[in-house]
Parts: sequence; structure tokens; C-alpha cells
Amino acid sequence: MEPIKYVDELIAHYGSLGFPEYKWTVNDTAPLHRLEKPLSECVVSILVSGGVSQCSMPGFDPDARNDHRLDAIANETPEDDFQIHDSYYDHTDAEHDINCVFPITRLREFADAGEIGGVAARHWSGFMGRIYNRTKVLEESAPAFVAKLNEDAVDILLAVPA
Amino acid sequence: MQVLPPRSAFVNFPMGNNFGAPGDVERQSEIMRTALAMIHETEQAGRLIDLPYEWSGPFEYFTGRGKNTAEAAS
Repeated sequence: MEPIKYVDELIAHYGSLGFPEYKWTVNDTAPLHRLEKPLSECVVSILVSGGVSQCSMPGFDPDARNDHRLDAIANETPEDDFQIHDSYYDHTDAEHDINCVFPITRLREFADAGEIGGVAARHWSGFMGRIYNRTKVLEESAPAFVAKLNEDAVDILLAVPA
Repeated sequence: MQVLPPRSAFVNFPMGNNFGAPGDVERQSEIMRTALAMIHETEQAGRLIDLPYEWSGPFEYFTGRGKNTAEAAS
């Protein structure tokens, strides 16, 4: 089947709810950092934006707007220690198997098999829902996040939108 | 493509099934392996690849109704 045109659907859906049209960020260029070392020497972390939190933590606001919350999730967290609160996608399957959106077990397997150098000490869950204050993202939240990735010597961030 | 990450892989699965179906270890691994391989295969910033996988059935833009509810209503 043809892919869903998410931008068009979002405009139509939220327009029908009375919201003004969302002003999408459009980037004309992207940075590209080339890694000199092989994957088998790279440390990998995952970011998921699908309202995933550990059971001991408060759930995310499922209807969040402008929520810059970002949870650190220890790599050794068991895959059944998660809850999902997010009204913006269907997480029925992910509740049965968190790897559908947050493939932490698969990544550990890659590390065990030597396909990657290792799994970072921390994964990340946040930036869920709709975020309109992009200046805060660019000037505050994203740089603070990069600093945390650098603390963990992360080479590759696998970002999973949901 | 508007956000334009340095490298991105699109898989035409329902949102929330980015790596496939629950318990499908093989497909989940394939998707992650393909995404990670882009680190070295990407020559031009902003590259987007379409993964060749087909979801098992039709799906729609999600507006708040869960799979279980959809099945019950159909």
C-alpha cells in the first residue's frame, strides 16, 4: 500500500479540531558526520519519542504539547519494565513487545554478537507529543541532550519517532 | 522530507510498529541492521531510504482508536 501522507493527514486532522495550521520546520540542509571506525567499535544509544517510560516513573502525558521531558533509561532495564502513554499513535503492539518502537533487546543482541561495539549506558525517551516551541528545542533541549550523549561517549544515536 | 536528519530509513509500517510486529525478532533485527549500516553507506547528508517491507494488511492514519477497538468495530 502507498505510504500515508502524514503531513497532509496531520493538517487535515488538527484543522478539523479547530487548531491553526502547524508551521512545519523545513530544513534545507543536514549535517553529516562521517565515522572513521567500524560499527563493531561504535557505541549506540536509542532515543524514542513514543511516550515510553519505566514503570517506576510517572507516565507521560498522553496528550502532551510542548513537553520537553527526557527520561534516561539504563541499558540494563528489563524489556517488560515499560509503560506507554501517548495518544498520537497506536501502541497496542509495542505494549506487548517494547522492541516494536524501542528495540533495546535487539541492540543488546547486536552488541553480544559483535555487530556493534557496545550499547550506551543510557537510552532516552522523550520529546513526545506535539512540540511547537522549536526555539527551545534548538537552543536548550537539543544541546543539553547532546551533552548527555557525549558524557556516555555515544557514537551513534538511533532516533525512533512515534 | 522536512526535518532532514543526516540519515533516515522509512519503513511503511503503522506508526508504533517502526521495527515490525511484536515478537518478530528477525524483522526487527533486519530493520535495525539496515538503519545502522547507513552510518557508513551514506555519502550525502539528508539521505532517505525506503525499506522494501510490506505490512501484513492495510492501516490508516491514527486518530485515537486502538487496534483492538478497530477490530471490535469491524
